[in-house]
Amino acid sequence: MKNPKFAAFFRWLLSLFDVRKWEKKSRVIAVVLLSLFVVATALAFVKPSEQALMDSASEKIRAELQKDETRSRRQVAITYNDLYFINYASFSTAGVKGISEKYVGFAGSVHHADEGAWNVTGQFINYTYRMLGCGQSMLYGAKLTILLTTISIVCGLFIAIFLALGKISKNPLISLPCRAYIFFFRGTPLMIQIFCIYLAVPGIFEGFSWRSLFDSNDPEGVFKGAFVAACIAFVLNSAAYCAEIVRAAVESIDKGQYEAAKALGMSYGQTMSKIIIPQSARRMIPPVCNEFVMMIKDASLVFVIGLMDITTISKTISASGSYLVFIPALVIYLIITAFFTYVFGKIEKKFSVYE
Amino acid sequence: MSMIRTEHVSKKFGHLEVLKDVNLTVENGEVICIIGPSGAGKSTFLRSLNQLEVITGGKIFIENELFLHREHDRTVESIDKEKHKALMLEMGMVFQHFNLFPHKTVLENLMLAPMTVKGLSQAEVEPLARRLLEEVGLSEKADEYPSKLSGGQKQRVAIARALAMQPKIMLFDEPTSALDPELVGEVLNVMKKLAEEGMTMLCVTHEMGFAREVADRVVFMADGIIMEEGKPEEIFTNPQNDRTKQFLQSIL
Amino acid sequence: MKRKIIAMLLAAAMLCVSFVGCGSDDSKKDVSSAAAVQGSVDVSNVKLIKEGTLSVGMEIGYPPFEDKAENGDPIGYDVDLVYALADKMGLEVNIVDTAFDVIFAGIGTNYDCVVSAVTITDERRENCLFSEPYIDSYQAVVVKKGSDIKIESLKDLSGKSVALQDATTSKALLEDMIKTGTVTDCKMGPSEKVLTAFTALDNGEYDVVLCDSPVADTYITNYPDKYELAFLDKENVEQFGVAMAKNDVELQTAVNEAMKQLKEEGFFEENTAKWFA
Repeated sequence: MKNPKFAAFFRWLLSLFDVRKWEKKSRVIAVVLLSLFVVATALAFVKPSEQALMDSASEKIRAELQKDETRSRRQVAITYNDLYFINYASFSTAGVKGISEKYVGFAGSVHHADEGAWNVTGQFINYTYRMLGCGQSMLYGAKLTILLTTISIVCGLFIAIFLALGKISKNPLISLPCRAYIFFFRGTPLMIQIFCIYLAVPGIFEGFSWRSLFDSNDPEGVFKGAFVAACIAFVLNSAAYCAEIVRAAVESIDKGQYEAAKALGMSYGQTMSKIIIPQSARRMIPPVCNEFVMMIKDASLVFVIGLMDITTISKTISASGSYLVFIPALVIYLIITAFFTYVFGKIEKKFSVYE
Repeated sequence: MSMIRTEHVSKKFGHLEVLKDVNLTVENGEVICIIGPSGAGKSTFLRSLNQLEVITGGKIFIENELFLHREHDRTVESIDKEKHKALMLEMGMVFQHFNLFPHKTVLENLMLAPMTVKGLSQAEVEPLARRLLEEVGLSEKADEYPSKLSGGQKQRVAIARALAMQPKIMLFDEPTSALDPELVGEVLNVMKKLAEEGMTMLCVTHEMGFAREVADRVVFMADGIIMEEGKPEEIFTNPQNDRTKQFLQSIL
Repeated sequence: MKRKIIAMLLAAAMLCVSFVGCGSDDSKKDVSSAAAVQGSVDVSNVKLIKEGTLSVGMEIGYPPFEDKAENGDPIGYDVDLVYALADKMGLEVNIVDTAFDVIFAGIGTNYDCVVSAVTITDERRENCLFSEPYIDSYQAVVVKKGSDIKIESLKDLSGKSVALQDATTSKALLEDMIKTGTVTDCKMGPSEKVLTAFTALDNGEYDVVLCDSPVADTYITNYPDKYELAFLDKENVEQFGVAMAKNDVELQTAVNEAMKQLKEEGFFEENTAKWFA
């Protein structure tokens, strides 16, 4: 730990865990979260087991379940969500109309949830569970949205810095390709870019497929491959948008800063990395945050290549179930957006200490 | 030994000729004040010395070594890059608007260039930086950000920052013009002290009192050429050139 | 000079052709409006969105049922069926191209009925009326040519990655099979168009495509070097029907009557031979 900057960062990280230094508000939130966690853990011990939920099923369902053992296509679908302190189970029969039973287990008791408030509660739990991607594929739902947008904004911003500096450059050999890149990726729809990268790239390179990037025995490989393709498309796209943000921020820095750096003998690279980019960083944050929030919503475009984010999952559920599903979807989006807006606000504050 | 020598330096912005044939020699340890009406090309001349402006034609020598030779907006003689950089570092510059780095503390402002440009370690630079801050009377502000300082304090930090590169020549571009009148004194005092220590200084200034008291030589520039130069008392009490007379009358 | 003349002649020729094209279109319409007088099925009590016109919702992009000709006109098995039905009813045809996942929402507002390779299911029956089935279809599993994947029953989809079209019966079926545990560890990739699913299969992203057998047949016939049929689920037949608004019994009766007549005339054999040859 010789690097003093790293040490400072480490100290800052440690200071985050120093409760005495927290603001009062943060302390209250922490206490609330902690007590919720304790309550949830306590409830988890008295939660109804999967067996208890199965036992509440009616004779009819049990008969169907037994028949299923011998059928070539099973008829009864069991959804069982093992959320920490709430259980939700539903039996429904595929294809055959008529038999459908739902249960919500809460704090030790099992509620029949075919109608009324328990039904709504159960559905909300079940939908939320699916949209968050619990118990499902690694890349489903909220996980996909958060992962995809975070990767694309971080990598995109990194590329964007070079693109922006390239675009400002007086050398046409550098500035023209950068301009062309930005023009292309801002001027074409993201959906088609995703399509091209996912479908056309393997078509051009014979024998290459996105899936082949991963172990062929990996059952998730197909989604991981598609996710990589989607990531590349999103990174390339967000780089173009962020490049314009970076350019505007860099150009807003006073000319005197360049002169002072030059008079002190600093090279172009040193001037940019030590003087200009750190100062423009603060000015970039609000528009980048905006871009990020837009991208959280744009993430639903991955449905064109078979990936499912919150929007796609909620649409799928609503096609076979109820429109109520959109309410938890909205809430999840709001929570994600609120969280990242908060994080960006903190970063902005950190960058503006000198003002 | 002459620290700076310029021969036939000219500078055009499009069709506007800002500098026409400027010839000046600055000896080691000499303090020169450049005075003149606005638009005379004083700042442009100073800025062309360390390449903030690229001259259209003429030669610049630093410590008797050719630093730049351009004719018709083209560099005629190319100079070894390392040597060019080394000569460049002989000059420190102080700006009218300070141009401190707002995202760095005062101490970091001083240490940044020595560490990045000269590749020195923090341990090597910090004692020098602290000593310089003490000299300009701002040791207690080392960990403040520039936004917390007054104009005069900022300019003193800027001087210390330029000195941290240990230059042999200091260029001052109207260092007190952006300051409130009551803050001018503290900056001039620092400059005076620097002059007494034997630093070679080239100042563009409107502070006639300072020029008269500290300068070894006063240069009067107008319309892109040096109209008159000489000892301060000669220029101020007995100017030869009509333009000088006119200028001095208008400001005194 | 000569070139210019040739160019002008060409342009004139093209203009003529396009006019002739329009002309033939007109004549087509004339025929159908003439048929309006002689429509063999009585539609006087049927309420239509547009008087004298059968408006049909269709997702164009599911060959061979619905596809686009080079000039952009809709063609396909369903398109021919729609024109034949309308002819019997003495109506003109207006095809409304609609994405399949929202196609049922537009019945009664955007169009009178949906003819778009719609499988008759109990779930769909809850929300709309269906005509008599007009074609039988099976779930088909398509693999890449030369693939060593063996599918003996739908259960063998376990552990495979399956590409299919969103909002189709194939998807509903696979979802059910995953939910009920009929298949395990199966990765489903729904895409908006069936073409995307087949391209992804060709690129090696997915192991198999699950779709309706007529669609599978078309792709395999058109690209015999790319795809091959791995399995046809003969046990469970699916039937396509015309979907109408839940309360539109009059239209249902009319359509069924028209279908009966077409069946007697041998239209369906002809149409099948035309599109699935």
